Amino acid sequence: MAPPAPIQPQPFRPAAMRIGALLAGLCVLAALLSLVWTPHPVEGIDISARLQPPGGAHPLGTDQLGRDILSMLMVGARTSLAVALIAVGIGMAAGVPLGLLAAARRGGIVDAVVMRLNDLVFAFPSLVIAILVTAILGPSATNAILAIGIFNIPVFARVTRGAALSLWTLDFVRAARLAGKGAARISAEHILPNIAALLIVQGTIQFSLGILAEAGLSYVGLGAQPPVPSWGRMLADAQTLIALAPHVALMPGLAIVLTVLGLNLLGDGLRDRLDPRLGGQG
Amino acid sequence: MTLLSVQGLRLALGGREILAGVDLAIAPGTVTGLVGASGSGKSLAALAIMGLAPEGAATGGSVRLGGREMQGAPEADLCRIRGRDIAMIFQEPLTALDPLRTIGDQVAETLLIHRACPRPEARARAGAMLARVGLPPERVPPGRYPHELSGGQRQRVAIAMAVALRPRLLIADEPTTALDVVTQAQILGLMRGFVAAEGMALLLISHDLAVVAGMADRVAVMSEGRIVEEGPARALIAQPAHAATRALVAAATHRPARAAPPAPGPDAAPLLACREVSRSYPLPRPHPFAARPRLLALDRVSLALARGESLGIVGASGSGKSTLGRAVLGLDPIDGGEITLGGVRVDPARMPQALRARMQAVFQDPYASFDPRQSVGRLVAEPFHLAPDVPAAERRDRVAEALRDVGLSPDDAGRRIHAFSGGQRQRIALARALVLRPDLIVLDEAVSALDPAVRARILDLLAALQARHGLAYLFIGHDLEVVGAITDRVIVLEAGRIVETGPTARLLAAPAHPHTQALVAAVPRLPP
Repeated sequence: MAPPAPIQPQPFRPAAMRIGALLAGLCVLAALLSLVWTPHPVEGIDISARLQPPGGAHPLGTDQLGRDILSMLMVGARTSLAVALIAVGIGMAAGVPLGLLAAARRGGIVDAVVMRLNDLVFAFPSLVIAILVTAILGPSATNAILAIGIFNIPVFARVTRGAALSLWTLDFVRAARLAGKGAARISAEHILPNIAALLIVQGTIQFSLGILAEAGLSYVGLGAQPPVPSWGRMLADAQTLIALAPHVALMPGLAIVLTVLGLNLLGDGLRDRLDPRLGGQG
Repeated sequence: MTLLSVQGLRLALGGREILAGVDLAIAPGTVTGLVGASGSGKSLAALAIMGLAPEGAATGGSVRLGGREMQGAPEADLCRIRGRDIAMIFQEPLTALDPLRTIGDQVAETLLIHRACPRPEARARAGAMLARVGLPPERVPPGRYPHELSGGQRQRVAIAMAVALRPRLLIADEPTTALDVVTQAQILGLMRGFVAAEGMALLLISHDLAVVAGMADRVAVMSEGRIVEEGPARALIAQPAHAATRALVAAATHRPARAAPPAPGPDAAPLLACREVSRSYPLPRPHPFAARPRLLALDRVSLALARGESLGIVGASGSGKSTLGRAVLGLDPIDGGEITLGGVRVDPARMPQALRARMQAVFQDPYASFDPRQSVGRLVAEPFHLAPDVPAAERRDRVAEALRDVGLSPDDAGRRIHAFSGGQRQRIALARALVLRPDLIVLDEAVSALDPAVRARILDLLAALQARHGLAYLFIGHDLEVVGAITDRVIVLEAGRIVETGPTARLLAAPAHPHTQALVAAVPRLPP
């Protein structure tokens, strides 16, 4: 019996991953920098300098209130990243243990209850859940986090359970049972480290989806509230001006597209890198 | 007149030379065996002959089929040759078939791709072909999917696909290594019949000289990327010239030297006792409102194993032998009866740590037996979970001692598991089983995945460890000869029931039950 042969990774992968890391890194850097410095204050309303095209003192132009778009994008990155990151955190913190539990009690009543609850959450579109949460708690960035986070839980629970189920049938888990280890210990010591790569990849995908979801919620007014800048609301505000000053809508749109693209490329690259079957570092 | 002529076939993968000039000639209608230890390059040679060398491999030399050069021929030409003139059967019948297509469609596909006939006729010919390989439509309809078949039946489908167009050359790469001995004998017989009836040439690749010996007219021995010896099968096995051939012959006839089993005391209680053990599995309901039928995997099995003794459990796939092993280990529950170890009841729901520590196991697949993310030292030390009061320094010493015991170096503790071969991994699995100094080790097909030379060394090691530590073995396997090499007594299981039991030598020499006779007859042997 031979070990599974490594699959040759495609040659353009490393370059794609580097581009992804660059785009995502740029977004993180902008968000961090905005904590200490922005080119202009984001609350600096200057009606006389409104709708200026890119160039000069405002590299990406100004919006309908004369605010610097670059500064707003930088601060908006903070909102997007924070919301997506915490939402992924909530999804992992709740979803992974649930998935491990379901796999450990596979075929039992606990498994059935966990998975049917997952189906229940899946049955609602994310926007409906978000509207539900904000209807109860009021619109804010915190509630957007909660809404997106709840939606992440079943995603992580399913991925975890699926991967854990196939590991539970392997002989090394049997060997661990022979060493007297219980289901909780086996899940923590043997299952979790072996599915970590998969979870990291799923995490980057959910992260980029979180950014999209936050932009969507802000767009319909259920996310971060003014004056906190957010990419989705910038897009919504610029919508009526699209014929007059297209750059006002274009810049936040590009920011969303490039960040999500970057995270997806990074996630793909990480999967190739972390999956031992694909010939990387196991 | 040769059908296939291979001259100076070279293959390098990632800068490492794997085939260093293979020369081979196959005459039409003959069976050629290609044998060699694991890693000698047999499988890559077969793939390179087909023009299917892995991506990134550099190949050279000449492969001529019926006088036509295949090396460097355009892919479109090779596609016309593959399946029509040369066909191949692979080792793993599950992955060689498309899981989403019916077996009838898969056999018909070969005919359709080569435009041998229109679709309805291809269907009919596929059905006839499946019937010829022993899958008649009334028992196994062509509308079945691969997952509904057993391993042996899947390999029959693979044969039907390969021979559908009556290729001139059939290449079979370890076609029976994943099967039990009885099924192996059936599949080999089927292939032999086809080759004779259709006048095909067969290149049979195997690591087991005994498998090839019963089939081949000529045998070529491969070692380190070269054919080191070639000749008529009988002559070559009777008088092997090259060291690699002698090693293969020795491995196929090897029996480990064993000490006599300890004489049982007059009223000594057995170490392990199973009384009327039964276990059944629920099957899918035939229709939504039917009661679930149950498959009886173990039917009132009773056995006793004394301290220091070794007992073999032999049976074909699905006979319940692994179920019995897992029940003894307390991994799976039983429905009826009782299992005791040293007088204490084995119950998976309530297993005292002290009882757990008295038995360990080695499993079949050396690649699935270890958590790939842990060091060897940590893997071997895993059973210390059962002995939390052993201090760290003593753990290290005992891991080192266990590694030395199985013929590895204590320095190996710091290495990662992927650095080790299949045989070395089974040694590490043994070290893990030994580290707590248990009374009983369950060996569940522990040597079935290894090639004969490695298997022989592991069997020697098992015999030596048993003598040194007074271990009791429950040795589970499908090959009566292999099981017999290491056990004093054998129990033969068929469909969950014990059909025969007795001293190993007696069972091998004079099997009484028809099923035991079939098992003994199926064991591949070198000609005397």
